[in-house]
Amino acid sequence: MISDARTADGNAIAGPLSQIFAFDVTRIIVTCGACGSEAPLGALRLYGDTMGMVLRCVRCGEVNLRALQFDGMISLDVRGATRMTFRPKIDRL
Amino acid sequence: MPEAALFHGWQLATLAAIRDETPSVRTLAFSLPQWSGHVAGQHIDLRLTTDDGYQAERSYSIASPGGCIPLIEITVERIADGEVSPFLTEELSLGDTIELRGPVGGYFTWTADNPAPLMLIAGGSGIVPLMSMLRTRARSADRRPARLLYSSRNFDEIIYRGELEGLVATPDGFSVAHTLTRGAPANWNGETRRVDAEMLAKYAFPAREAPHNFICGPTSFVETVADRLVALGHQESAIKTERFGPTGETR
Repeated sequence: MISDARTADGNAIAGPLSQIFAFDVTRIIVTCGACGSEAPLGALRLYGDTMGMVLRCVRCGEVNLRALQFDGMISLDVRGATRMTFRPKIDRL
Repeated sequence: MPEAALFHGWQLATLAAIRDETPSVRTLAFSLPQWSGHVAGQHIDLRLTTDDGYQAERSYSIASPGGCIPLIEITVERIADGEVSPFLTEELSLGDTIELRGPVGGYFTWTADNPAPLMLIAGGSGIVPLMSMLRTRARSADRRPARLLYSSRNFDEIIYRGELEGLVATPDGFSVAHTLTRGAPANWNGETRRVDAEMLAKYAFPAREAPHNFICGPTSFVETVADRLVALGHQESAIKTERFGPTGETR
């Protein structure tokens, strides 16, 4: 049921989280709680579907972030990330 | 459709044009009540609601050039057992409406004032956001060198084939290299294997030219190509990736 050809990484979470963050979240630098590697949230590997999105570290596979959407609520579980660095302003690569 | 279509940024988009790109890939152009413009590489989300209230959201790359344009295009590959793509490519008709949110995303984006050489590497329908970048570039006055390395399964599945030929025919520093991984026509003069280190060395800008590299395709494709670019000396910060396809796919 989730085999459609479409975004399969952290970029897919930009829309849902645009409801609660005032800036684009895909550029947040996420530090993995397991291996310590840093990656833009948009580059993390996506598992799951709209109701429950799981973003995993590209390096080690640790779950860095879970986002649940239900009953008009959004619930974020970020225990798998030790740090998130925000640069709200859009810049180039 | 739900009453609160504009809540949380959702708006009702109307399907204004349909264009078949390949036997299994279709471009859908939507007109929107409000659109403030987008940057090449950004996404939109589509939301489908069934009669019994079940909702499915999907994120799709925008295919149209960046800027403020009247119609927003996405290009959708029909996956036979997909939940949403068969509806989008077979059932949604001209004049139908669908909920749309966006544009979103600021990570996998490119603007025409970026002075670095632009290296685009696509696998299959991963070409879509890269095509937005090429269309943006083609509309800009000052064009930096750009190259596309595009891997398709076979000749008939090359998305935007004719348009890419047109872009190459314009002498403005853009070139395309195609590779076909599951068979090629008899007169084919492109590559015929998966993207490997040798192919990247041949077609990608060398690391010393400090290109910005955008890779989009299935997860395994993206991660393999990214690793090979790093091995060729490219900075990880100069490589941006976007994965297409089933979620949870591993290499």
